[in-house]
Amino acid sequence: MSSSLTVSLLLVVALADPGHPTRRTLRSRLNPDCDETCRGRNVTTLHLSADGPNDTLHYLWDFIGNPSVLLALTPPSTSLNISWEDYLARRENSVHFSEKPTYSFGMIINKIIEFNDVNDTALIDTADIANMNVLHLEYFNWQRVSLTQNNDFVYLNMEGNSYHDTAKNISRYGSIKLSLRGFCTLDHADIVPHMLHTENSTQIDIILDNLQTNETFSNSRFAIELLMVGGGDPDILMFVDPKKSLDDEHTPGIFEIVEVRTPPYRELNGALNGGAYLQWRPVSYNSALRDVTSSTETMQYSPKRISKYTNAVKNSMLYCYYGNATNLLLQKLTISLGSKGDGFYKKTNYLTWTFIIGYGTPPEERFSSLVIMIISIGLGLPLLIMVITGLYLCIRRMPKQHGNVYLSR
Amino acid sequence: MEGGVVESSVSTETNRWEDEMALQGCCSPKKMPYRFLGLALMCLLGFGSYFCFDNPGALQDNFKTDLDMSTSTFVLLYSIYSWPNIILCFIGGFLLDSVFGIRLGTIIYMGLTLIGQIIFACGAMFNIFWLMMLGRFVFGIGAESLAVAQNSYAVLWFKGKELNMVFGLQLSFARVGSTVNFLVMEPIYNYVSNYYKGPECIGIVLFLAAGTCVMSMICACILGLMDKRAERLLRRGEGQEPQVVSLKDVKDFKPIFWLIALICIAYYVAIFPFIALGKVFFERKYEYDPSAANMVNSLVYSISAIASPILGYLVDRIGKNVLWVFISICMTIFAHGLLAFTYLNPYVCMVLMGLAYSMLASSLWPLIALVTPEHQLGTAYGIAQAVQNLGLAVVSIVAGIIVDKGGYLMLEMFFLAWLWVSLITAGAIWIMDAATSSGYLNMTPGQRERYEMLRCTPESLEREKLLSECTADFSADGLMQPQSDISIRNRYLSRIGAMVPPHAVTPIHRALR
Repeated sequence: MSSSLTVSLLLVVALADPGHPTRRTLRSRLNPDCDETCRGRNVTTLHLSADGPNDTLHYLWDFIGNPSVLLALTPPSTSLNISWEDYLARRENSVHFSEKPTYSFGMIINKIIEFNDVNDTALIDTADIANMNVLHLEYFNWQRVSLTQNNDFVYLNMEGNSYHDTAKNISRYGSIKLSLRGFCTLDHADIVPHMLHTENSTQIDIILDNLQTNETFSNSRFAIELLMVGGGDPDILMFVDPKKSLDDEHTPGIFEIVEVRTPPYRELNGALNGGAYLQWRPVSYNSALRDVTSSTETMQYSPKRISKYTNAVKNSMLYCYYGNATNLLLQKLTISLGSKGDGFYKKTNYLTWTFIIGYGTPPEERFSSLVIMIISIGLGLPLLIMVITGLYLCIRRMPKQHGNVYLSR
Repeated sequence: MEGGVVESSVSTETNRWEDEMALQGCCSPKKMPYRFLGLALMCLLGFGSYFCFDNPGALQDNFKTDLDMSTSTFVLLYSIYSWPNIILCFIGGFLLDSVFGIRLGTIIYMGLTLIGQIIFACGAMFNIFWLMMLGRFVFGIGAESLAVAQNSYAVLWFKGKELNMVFGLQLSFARVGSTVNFLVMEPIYNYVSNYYKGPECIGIVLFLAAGTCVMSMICACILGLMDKRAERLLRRGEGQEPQVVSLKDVKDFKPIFWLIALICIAYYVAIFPFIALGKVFFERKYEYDPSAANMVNSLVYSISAIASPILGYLVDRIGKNVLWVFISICMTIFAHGLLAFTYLNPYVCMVLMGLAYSMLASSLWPLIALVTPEHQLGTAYGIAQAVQNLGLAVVSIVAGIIVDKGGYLMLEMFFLAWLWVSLITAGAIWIMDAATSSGYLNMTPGQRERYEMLRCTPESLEREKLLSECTADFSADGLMQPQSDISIRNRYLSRIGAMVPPHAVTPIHRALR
């Protein structure tokens, strides 16, 4: 599989449109400046900073409590400081930057919701509590599987096992695999669905692998609830925009891309700015092969405002940064995995979902040069043939006319 | 009494007289009822094999649960059918010409089909996988060669007047066969499963399905008897040198034949593999639910079932086969282009594609009969079908890979590229035909008749009877076979007005008219 991935990566690299000028330098540190405190403890906090010419983009990936991501845009050469004792105890303001970020935004993978899809609609009916189970990601035992750091990308693979809900005393087998990827250029990712990422974005890939389902549910499906915290007008709902395209070259079989934009925020100088975005292809794969036949769809629901901090926020890294700040955007977004008639989760006990979280404007997909080349050959060649046959017929006819003229004389 | 060897000349005369009487009666092979009974039998001949071919498909889920099969092993049941036929249906067609003859050949191939289905059913009954594979293999040999025989029968009986329509009808009957299979197999299975369970149930259902093959077998026998009677009464092939068919003749096939074979590959690979992958495409791109996607996807088949005989009839009346082929390829390119580059309602695209496909099927296949001498028809159709099988087998795999690596847009462009190839090939046929045989293939029926009459003149002046024989097949057998030096000599002799040895006048079978 890795060889085919390399091949497709090479293809993607070879075909990627050049011309995006900006490139950021990546620096990443695991558990920054935490020497004594973290020793012997299962702590994974990755700080990723991407230095551009005018600003620095910080990402903080954290797996203590609920997995969460913080994105902050700061002036260049701003540093991040974490007071580790407070941070591990989830106290407010234990994360701060040496200069105040111009924009910040956080996301928590809040819940995995299992629902019993009795009528095979693939839609999660939030009113029906009886047919729903909630898994909180903090109850998984998170382990770092691998970490690859270099100047071009950062890959962090995490695996959550042995779910145990201490409050309700529920245990489940199975695992959730999270892969986070940071990039420094505009390119397509090497794993299907080959999301187009910018240097300003992080890709998060979630795999629900062999997760135990509720025995009383006959048709279990899963949904993922994300919680967004951060800058932007809290009164405006995030804008969900599914876009259709003709091109499924990078994500075979998927012609749609879903974009979620945070409400614009006001910069210090008064200008309105777009803020952050989420982007994904509405596809979920039910096998590790990730080919067209093993794909099913995802469905997103409109965002909902949350009035106050829940425990989920309090038990995440975002609380360490935002503390009890008021006037924060606080909304949740649900995405259910699976589509009508796909055989439910029990068919393969495997589902994926891949999305991008980034800052600025989401990149637009374009026809790759290969497609353009084929189209131009397809249109050009027949034209060429027509011209050639036309010429040939003209030339063939010429002497004939001569002959006739000659005869008629 | 059928075809008894007649020794004395006296009894020959009496027989002749009796035959003349038979030709006047309502059962005359020249009259409508006889020929259309033959047509019905020809269509039913293919019904069994098309019905049984898709048995596993119709019972896919039951196969997997009852016989404990995985999807990949299930797919093998279809692969073992198609892969050997890349070569075998060519051999089948050749044997039809050289050894068996059409009547015996048809019965033998039908028999193989029936035996294959029975072995398959036994394999399922006892849940022995290799036996099932063997059954499908034998079934495949029989069924594909049977299709070649069916084509040859159609040409033999209907060449000249209704051939295009007959090809269309056969095509539509093939579709009917597989549709009926999809409709009835599930209920039959459910009924049988009340009494039997597991592999036994599947086995019994397959045995019941073999009933359609028995029916087709009976049709093959009746058709054989009818053909024999027709041959005797119409004195088809009488006084002829028996043609020695050898594999070497293949190299003497006209270049136009090979171009037609190329279209058989290049056009069909843009239709069948697309339909095989189409359901998901319609679900994803147009957000159709599975049943609606299936409906659009199978539109090409349902349209062809209705439209191909009608369009075939049109082509019969208007002629100009190459023009029709050209138009239908253009229409298909347009339809694929719409699917690839627009969000236009896919019903429009698929209806267009269905019409184009039916038009092509009923105008392309008869072309082979126009460029091939009759005694090589089996070989020619065998080759066309074999290369088509080869193209489909390879392209189906390639198309799957393309979808997984590059998506449906890439796949559509792949198909468009193939269609361009077939369009250019059709153009080449057009030009070549105009250059070498003064556009015979693209004539209207009237023009063809006049053209043939003109070609026949030297002979027809001599003997009235020859006229009808000339009009039938002159183009195919006289013109298209300059390689046979006997025929060149005879033509030369008739040109200069010399007597041609009577037994060598028409070195070919005559089409039933």
